[in-house]
Amino acid sequence: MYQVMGCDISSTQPKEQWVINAEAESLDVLLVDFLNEALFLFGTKGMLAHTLMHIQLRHTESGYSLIATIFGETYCVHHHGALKEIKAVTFHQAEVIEHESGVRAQVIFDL
Amino acid sequence: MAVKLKKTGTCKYTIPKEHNPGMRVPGVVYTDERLLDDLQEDGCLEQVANVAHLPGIVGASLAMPDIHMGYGFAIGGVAATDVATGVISPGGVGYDINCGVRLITSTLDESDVRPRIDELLGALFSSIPVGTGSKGKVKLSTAELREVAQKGAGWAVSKGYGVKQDLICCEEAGAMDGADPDSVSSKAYARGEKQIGTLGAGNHFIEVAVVDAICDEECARAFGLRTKQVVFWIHSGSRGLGHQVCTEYIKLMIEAVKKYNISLPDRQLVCAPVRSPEGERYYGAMAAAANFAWANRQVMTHWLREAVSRTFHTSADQLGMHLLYDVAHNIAKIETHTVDGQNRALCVHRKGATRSFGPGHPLVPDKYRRVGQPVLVPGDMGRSSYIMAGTEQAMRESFGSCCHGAGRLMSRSSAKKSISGRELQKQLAAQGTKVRAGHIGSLAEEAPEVYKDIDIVADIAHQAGLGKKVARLVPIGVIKG
Repeated sequence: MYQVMGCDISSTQPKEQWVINAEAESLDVLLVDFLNEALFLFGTKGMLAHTLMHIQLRHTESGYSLIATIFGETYCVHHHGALKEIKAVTFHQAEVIEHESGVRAQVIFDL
Repeated sequence: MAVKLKKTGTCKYTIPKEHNPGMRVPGVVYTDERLLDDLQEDGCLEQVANVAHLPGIVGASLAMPDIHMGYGFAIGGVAATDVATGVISPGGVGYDINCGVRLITSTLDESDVRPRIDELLGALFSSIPVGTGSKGKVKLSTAELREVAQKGAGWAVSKGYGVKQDLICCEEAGAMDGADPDSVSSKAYARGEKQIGTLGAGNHFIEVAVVDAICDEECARAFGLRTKQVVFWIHSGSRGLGHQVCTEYIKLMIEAVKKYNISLPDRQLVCAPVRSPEGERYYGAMAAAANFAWANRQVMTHWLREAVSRTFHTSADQLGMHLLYDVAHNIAKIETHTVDGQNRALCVHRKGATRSFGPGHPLVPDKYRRVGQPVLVPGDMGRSSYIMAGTEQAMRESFGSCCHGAGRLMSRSSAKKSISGRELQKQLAAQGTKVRAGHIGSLAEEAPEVYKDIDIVADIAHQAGLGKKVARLVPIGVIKG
């Protein structure tokens, strides 16, 4: 997501901490929810995520829940440069497919 | 696979219901041979057919001449559903609720502005915050945002951002009825608190343009347009507040379609009956976000007037900087339309489509009622834009709707491969259009060649009777987010 915004995440430092909670009935909706939450935190707090840690993904009665701790720093136009805007993470053609070797996910951003 | 189209009129093609057994109505596409191949490659025709599955859809799923692929709904689509039996869909409005355009006239001539265009763009660029993460000069509390959600552009005028006359020249007088501030989440308000009076990024812009040609003298007189006149465009929407509202209500509607047993071919079309608790809450939140967008464009208008006034050392009033009109092109509205000889209350979704109410319609401001509402159709940075007028035929054909722009032809990633932002900036300057951008790298994504030719799009709309060409405008200065 930050790559789409044109942000070089390797230039950020894990100075601050945020926590994202998400719940959804399916993995693809959970992924869209998680990314929209990250977008919300960028829009309101300027969150640029450097590292994702302590990811707790659980099956629940109604689907899945996710708690993720994110380390990163606050966006500053002078330091990080101008970024492209993502309006939203859409549900259009969103999918999470589990393979033997891992997981393949697809989301489409509204720019 | 190509979608089979049947020619059924001038610049009019039909996707028969038989295309897909779930279609409740046919699809109708306003286009011609010049654009057909692109449409078949784009995938938007399948989306037009998908929208025809919506419960309660009336007449046809419509595609305006600028149609192109969107998320679930095609952009340039119109879907009217019966208020009593049909649904409302957040995807049919889009993430940028009440994304729209306004046009401000002036008494300035091209010869006054061209020599000072760099100075003017500099003044505009420093007056109006643009780009991702840009914060407005006004920070609002939640209580103030709730007031904005109800009063729209009227809130801005009451705070000194503009004049009462501006409100007469906005669709809905700049504030939709039915806005419910309680249906907007605290997260949406949080995203909006520093964003009033900000342009945003992507395809949003402020443009200094010159009236290049008059196509209809009578309408041009009514709209106050003449050749060589300088005018100003503002294209923006409801910013993060609207994006958050759409995101949250799409998630809510994923549950609603199960509750109401609605079967759809694409999840992004999720919806709920207009007269259900979910549908009514969405409508209230959407109208609130739409009102935020009207206030946003109104605040920017005030700063634009100040910047122009400073540059030319003359008051905005003396410069004749009147709002010609403001249109919403991502919206759902409850409107009355005549269908098969009967007046029906419909929920008209315009996803990248402009209202085009014809002469005599009571919702058209008095000053334009004789000729029809101004239909604002911006093109791209390198070619032109059109001012059109609403028509009676649009009332019969398209629930009073017309195209909202040129329509994208190429994806953003393909566009960036073909030209760099800097190169494009130089190229446009050589052609007579100066550009300043918040993010120069994104400029290439808005290059003229990524859009359909607006002359063709406007011509199709004119021939199909969806709008009447009034004037053609060319850009001389552009600010992009």
